[in-house]
Amino acid sequence: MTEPIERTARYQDDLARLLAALEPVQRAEVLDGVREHIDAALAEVGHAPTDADVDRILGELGSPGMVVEAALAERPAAEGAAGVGAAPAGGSWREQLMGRWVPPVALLLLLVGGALMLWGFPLLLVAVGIVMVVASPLWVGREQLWAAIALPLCSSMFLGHMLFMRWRVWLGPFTPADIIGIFCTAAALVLVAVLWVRGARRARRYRRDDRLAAGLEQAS
Amino acid sequence: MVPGEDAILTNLRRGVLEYCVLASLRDGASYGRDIARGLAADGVLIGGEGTLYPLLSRLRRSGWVETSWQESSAGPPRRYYTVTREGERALETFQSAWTPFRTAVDTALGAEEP
Repeated sequence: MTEPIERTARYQDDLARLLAALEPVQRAEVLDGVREHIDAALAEVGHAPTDADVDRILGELGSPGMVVEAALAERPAAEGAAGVGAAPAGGSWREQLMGRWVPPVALLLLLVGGALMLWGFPLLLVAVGIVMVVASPLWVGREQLWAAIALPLCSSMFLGHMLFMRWRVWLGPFTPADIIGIFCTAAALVLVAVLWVRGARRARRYRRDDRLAAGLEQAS
Repeated sequence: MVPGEDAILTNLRRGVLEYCVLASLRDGASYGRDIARGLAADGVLIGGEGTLYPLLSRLRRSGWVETSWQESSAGPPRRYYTVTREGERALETFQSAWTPFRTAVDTALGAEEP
């Protein structure tokens, strides 16, 4: 992907984030319209687009903030009355799972619940954690699979290893099972760290975009 | 505080721009970039071409325009917008209200007859 094309993609990504508060159909329609506009403008250039071409095309479109301001003004009355902070219809619980508290709570539920899974009751913690990571927009695709499946499995091995080690200390040297336990422990901790960082970063970005969208609405 | 020219234009566009879009489609279907280019030519009706798309989305939901896809000689297929019968009626109603409104504003502002 060339640099000018990357800039048009970044513009669309910024716009998509800023439009998060809109009703999904309207949001998709605006994003599609802008994407088609950019595609048509690039096709009219007639050669590989340069930075100057992209400057002109994006300049004519206006900043993502301008488009968002126009989109907020076009929202249906009922949705507008609910305010920017309100979730789109049918998506309130999903919006709730975009907060900064979600990564620590969901991941610790999976880590602790997974570690104590063999005792029965903590399975409930794992179930709640899985629902949170799958429903939250803070993680996507493979991240959700890693969090929902690999993390509690690795974590349960961690407990198995710890219990096993307590006995092994008195019984003899390291065995392959110890090595697997140590590996799973490390994998669980790395998973928690990576997913925590990614989730927290997206939560911060959603929060910033929400504030920006609210500011734009107040200014309009 | 005295509002700037941009703020005044933003307010004036509300309630008017949608009919300018409908009027631009009276002579036939057109695609987004083409509509935007026509309306943005003088820099008065729309501030940025991208601001047209939320409006087009609302007009489609209102049933005043409808869309269809057409192949393009340059680039990917394009979504064409066509004004519906209901959209035409809305435009006629607006035009009948607009002329006396414009005259009244010109009179109030003391503008000279052309």
